[in-house]
Amino acid sequence: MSDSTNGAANGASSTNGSAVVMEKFTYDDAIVRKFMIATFLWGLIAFLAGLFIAAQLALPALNFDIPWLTFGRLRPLHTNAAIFAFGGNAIFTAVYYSVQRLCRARMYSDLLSNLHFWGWQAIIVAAAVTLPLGYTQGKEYAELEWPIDIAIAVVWAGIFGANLLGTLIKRRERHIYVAIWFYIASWLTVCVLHIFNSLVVVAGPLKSYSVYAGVQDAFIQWWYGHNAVAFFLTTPFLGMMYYFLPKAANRPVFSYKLSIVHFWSLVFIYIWAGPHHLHYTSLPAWASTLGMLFSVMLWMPSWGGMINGLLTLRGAWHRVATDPVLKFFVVGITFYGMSTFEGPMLSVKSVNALSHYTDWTIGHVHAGTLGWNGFMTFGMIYFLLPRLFQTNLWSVRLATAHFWVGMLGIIMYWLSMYGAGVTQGLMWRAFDETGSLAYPDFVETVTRLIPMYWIRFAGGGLFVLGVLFMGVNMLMTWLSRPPKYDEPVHEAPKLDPVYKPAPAYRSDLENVVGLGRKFDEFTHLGWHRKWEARPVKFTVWVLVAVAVASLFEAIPTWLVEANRPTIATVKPYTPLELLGRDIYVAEGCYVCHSQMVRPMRHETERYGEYSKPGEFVYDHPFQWGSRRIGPDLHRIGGARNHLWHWQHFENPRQISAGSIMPGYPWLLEQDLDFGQAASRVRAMSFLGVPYDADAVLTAEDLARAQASQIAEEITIQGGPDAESIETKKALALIAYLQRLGTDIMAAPDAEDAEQEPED
Amino acid sequence: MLRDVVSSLDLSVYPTIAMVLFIAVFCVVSFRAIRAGKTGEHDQVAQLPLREDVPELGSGEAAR
Repeated sequence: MSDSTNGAANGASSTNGSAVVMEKFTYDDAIVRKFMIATFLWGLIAFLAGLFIAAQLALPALNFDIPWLTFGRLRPLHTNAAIFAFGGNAIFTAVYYSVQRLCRARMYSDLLSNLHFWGWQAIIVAAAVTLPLGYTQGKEYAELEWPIDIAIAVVWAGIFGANLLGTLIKRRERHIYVAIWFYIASWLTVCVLHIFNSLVVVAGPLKSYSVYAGVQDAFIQWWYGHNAVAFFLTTPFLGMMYYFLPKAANRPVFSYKLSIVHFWSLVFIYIWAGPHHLHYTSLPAWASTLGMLFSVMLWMPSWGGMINGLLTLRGAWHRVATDPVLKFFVVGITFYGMSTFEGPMLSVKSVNALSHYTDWTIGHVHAGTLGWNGFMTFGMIYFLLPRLFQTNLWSVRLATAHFWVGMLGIIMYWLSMYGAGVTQGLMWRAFDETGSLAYPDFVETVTRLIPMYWIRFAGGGLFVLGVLFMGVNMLMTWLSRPPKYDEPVHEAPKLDPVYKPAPAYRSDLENVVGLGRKFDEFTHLGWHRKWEARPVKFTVWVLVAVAVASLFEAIPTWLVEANRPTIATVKPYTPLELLGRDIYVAEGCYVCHSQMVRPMRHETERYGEYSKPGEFVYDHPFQWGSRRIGPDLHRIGGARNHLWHWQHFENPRQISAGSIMPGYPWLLEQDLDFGQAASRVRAMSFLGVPYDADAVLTAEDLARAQASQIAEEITIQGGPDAESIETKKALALIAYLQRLGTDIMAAPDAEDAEQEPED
Repeated sequence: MLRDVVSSLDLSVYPTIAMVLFIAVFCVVSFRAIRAGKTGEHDQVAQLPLREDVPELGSGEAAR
């Protein structure tokens, strides 16, 4: 191989006097410092938000009856802040530090770097304002409304992408190192996921409806949701591992070859796994089985990565005892290993039948985010602090204390949630000797968890305490920085535009057939070395790996009629119900309530008929949920009278002792904007929901009429005077809840019974 | 027609074959990947993160 950076030919020719163009450059560390500080600040906010809502689960009065302090609105804030603000800034810190050094080039453009930084922070601020105010698309980890989604696309796909690829193109090191492969895959796949999952029809300045409905929306959402875990919380952090761990351990990665296998198998397999979030739901069984199989296969590359990371420390283990950076990395990678074992296990259908909708999932996720993402980030920050602030770390002892306090916190969090999940899962499915549910009252299965919720809170508190330690360490290290940062000038030869690969490895195997020789040559990976020198071609192959799986799963879901059966008696929502559904989405009800009765006896016994795919065809977006902090609501329609709901919103505990649902008294006080009904119906019609031609014109009148009727019924049932409540928001939500899951019980119009799907 | 043919076949041995294939591939890949870590042919690229602070000429793969 010969290029100006590292070619033997050029090296030789330079000694012969021919010119090798040497270029001088500096690294932009100011941008890395910015991203690192943002990582800490947003991390602290994300963790404190998590701590606050964890306390609310044990003590629901902590919402103080204030809408923007309520669990359903703050939980998306917590998850978005943890993933995209803390995780995102951590990723950018790693990328901006390591890519410059691995490419021997300053970032492509300082302007793009700064636009990237400030654009991303602006997006986070916009999220932190809109989510508590109830502006949400109602899809987990993709809650942000359409203007913010567009900004994300511009900043991530456009600015970050241009800056990253631009740097790769003007690099001075021929080979792009494994960390950069992971960055490329992350950037590219997140672009694809974000754009396709965020396709909406706009219904107002901060209101939109997913173009997908029901089963398709669930499918695309968890294709996105799972791969947000894969390509936002896994691959970039693996890139971080492959760069910072060898740096901190001062030895190369254990097996470069294993990293090639690790990378491609992970990128190819991960993307199939999304449907494991939808086991036993109305998703077609083939899709969920496929998701399960690929999830189990995913165990293999994940552990390949973990082993590669841990074995990098061979011969350096004694340093783990003294170096907090390595401590964080070792435990972070171990948590990666544990959660990538637990994940495939939870994706097995029979395990999932127990774990799904319980806190086990929450425990699993936090082992990954706190243990893997958190500890890898903290390790990286402790590694960077002395280098970026060009002084010694203020206190190694405080960093070590952070490590121990944080680890204890994670273990308390994980074990308590594991216990809570298994406890509740078993209680839900328990039958007594007469064949009835052993715990028919859902609240019984919740009150049992309260002690574990307090342990979780304490564990989370310890984790936050550790982060505060880090904050002090960061501040004190920063205070002892030099008056002016030294900016070393580096020198490297310009990359030769002509790439002449090294001569390919020729197999020296004897007495084997030609095929064996070819296989031998293939396994020496010379072909991959060539890819490593061509970032654009590399990116295209990553796109192919990701797209194949996506298309294999997505196309049948769209095209095969049998995958989306319709039911004749399922009709579009009335205008008032649509407005009520908007409130359901805005308040984040889906965060605690599922709308998906699984076909299991204990579920049909508890909730009623299991859910059918055809029942969700008008659900833009789907609201199946992923956790039952409260009971399933798909068959709530008609199960309680209007007054029950009215009083329940006012204060759930006056109806249901021991309930941990927060009060929603503002729904009883605030007036509904009936004027919005027309725009909602118009948007739904545009999406293909079959409303009558004049439905938009009559929407507001219909909504008011239905609200009056419900108000009168509440009065008859012993509630407040109809006239005083007929404009309140709660009526719309009641209308929606009373409609839920009732259509399949309705008498068919004429000849239409359920249209059985052709298979 | 096709459905009748497929449903009359006994495919119960397939999962076992698939599992054997899966484990075999797993073992071969693991063995080769870990063994190859010691052959030294990837040493130059694996060193990339460690040597970037001291850019040097002729330090590339072909220099070996």
